[in-house]
Amino acid sequence: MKTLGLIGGTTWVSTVDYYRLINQKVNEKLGGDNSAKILLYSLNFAEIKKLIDDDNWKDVSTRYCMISKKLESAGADCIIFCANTAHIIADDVRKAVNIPLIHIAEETANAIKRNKLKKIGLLGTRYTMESDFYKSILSKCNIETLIPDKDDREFIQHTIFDELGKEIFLPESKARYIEIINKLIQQGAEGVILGCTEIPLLIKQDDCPVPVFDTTMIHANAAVEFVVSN
Amino acid sequence: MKTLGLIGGSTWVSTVDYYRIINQKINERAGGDNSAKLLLYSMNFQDLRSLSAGNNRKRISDMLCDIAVKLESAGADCILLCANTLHQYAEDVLKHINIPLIHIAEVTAIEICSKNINRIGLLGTKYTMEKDFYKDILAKYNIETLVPDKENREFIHNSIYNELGKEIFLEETKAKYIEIINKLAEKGAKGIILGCTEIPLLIEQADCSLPVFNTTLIHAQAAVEFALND
Repeated sequence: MKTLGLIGGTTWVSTVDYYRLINQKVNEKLGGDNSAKILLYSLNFAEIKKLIDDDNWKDVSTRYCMISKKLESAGADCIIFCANTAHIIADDVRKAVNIPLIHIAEETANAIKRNKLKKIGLLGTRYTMESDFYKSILSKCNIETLIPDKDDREFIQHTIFDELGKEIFLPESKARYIEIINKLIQQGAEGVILGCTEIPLLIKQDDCPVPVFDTTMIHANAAVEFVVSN
Repeated sequence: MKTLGLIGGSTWVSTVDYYRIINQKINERAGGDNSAKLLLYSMNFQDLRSLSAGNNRKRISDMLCDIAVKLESAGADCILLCANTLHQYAEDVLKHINIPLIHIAEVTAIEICSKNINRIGLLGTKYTMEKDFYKDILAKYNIETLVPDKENREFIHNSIYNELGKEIFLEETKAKYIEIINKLAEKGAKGIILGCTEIPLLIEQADCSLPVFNTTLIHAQAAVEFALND
């Protein structure tokens, strides 16, 4: 069985989700007492958050590249960032290691393509919604991306860091998310990407009238496919 | 903050507990957005079970030593084996690394001493209950160990592998555990070690008339102390 190299801790709450989903699905596929072979490096979120707050992506990149190399030499057969936002520096890591990086936006774009959707709403951290790294991968698959307005983006950013990442789930935050999703639907979104690994902890398919793309689930499934394929 | 090296996956269900407790407690202690710096190697439990069924102790030992060495070279400052049973190989692992191994029985013994208890009931896999590696450490701290009779040992062992490790929690199993604990109390046990990281998923302090020692919690707390001490 292949060994998955995970970089997590951003936040540890969603890393638990990755670890649980991957182990459950590997066991479903292989049966018996099989579980995943995983090498996880879990970061101190305070250190990464400080770099992100300072817009110091260079040091974020250096850190992720170093950890990826360590995981590779410890035996990992691929690299998975357990977060959407970190994918801003995914290309740097791809250059630094000789094993594949399973990219969350590429896997999500594939899932949207399979559902034949052309216009998609994207929720995530400010960086995920506003920078190009996510949207450009979607547009390569001819998927147009819609994002919330500035007020709503700030609200989402705030809930991810101050509530969801701390395991705080409020009904009023959930209601506001649903309101934001409905606005995107009015603008033509045929589906919504839950593009931050914390958001699926709050919003589920049942809460939405259009298909939701749970990036944690899609990413974890791609990891499992990698493990069981030869 | 020091980097913790965890060897888990036996089973992954209890490894989630370790990961969650360590992160929560580090955040409580260090505040802000702090979470643990940790490196986890999660094994395929099937590999371990197959080797164990074939009584292939040398190969299990080699596998654990190899993983511990990899975690050390990837930057771990200590090693934790995230299971009581794996501690039969603790001395082998220690010989291969230059960082400390935080021993679950050792930190449990210290906790029991702090409660002035000198006779304790031990529940765990048959290896933990029947072999000397656990009892010897308790004896070093002048703690006498009582284990259930053969039939009950088999019941506990099987419930760990066939139920708890698969996230199956049955009322009748819980009732039998409580009956076994009461028998140990009649024989003079003044406390009970939940000496398998899966058992606290079923039995809590509120279920028992005697003080229970949750080894997952005690071990995770010792890890947090290590991580935060300079």
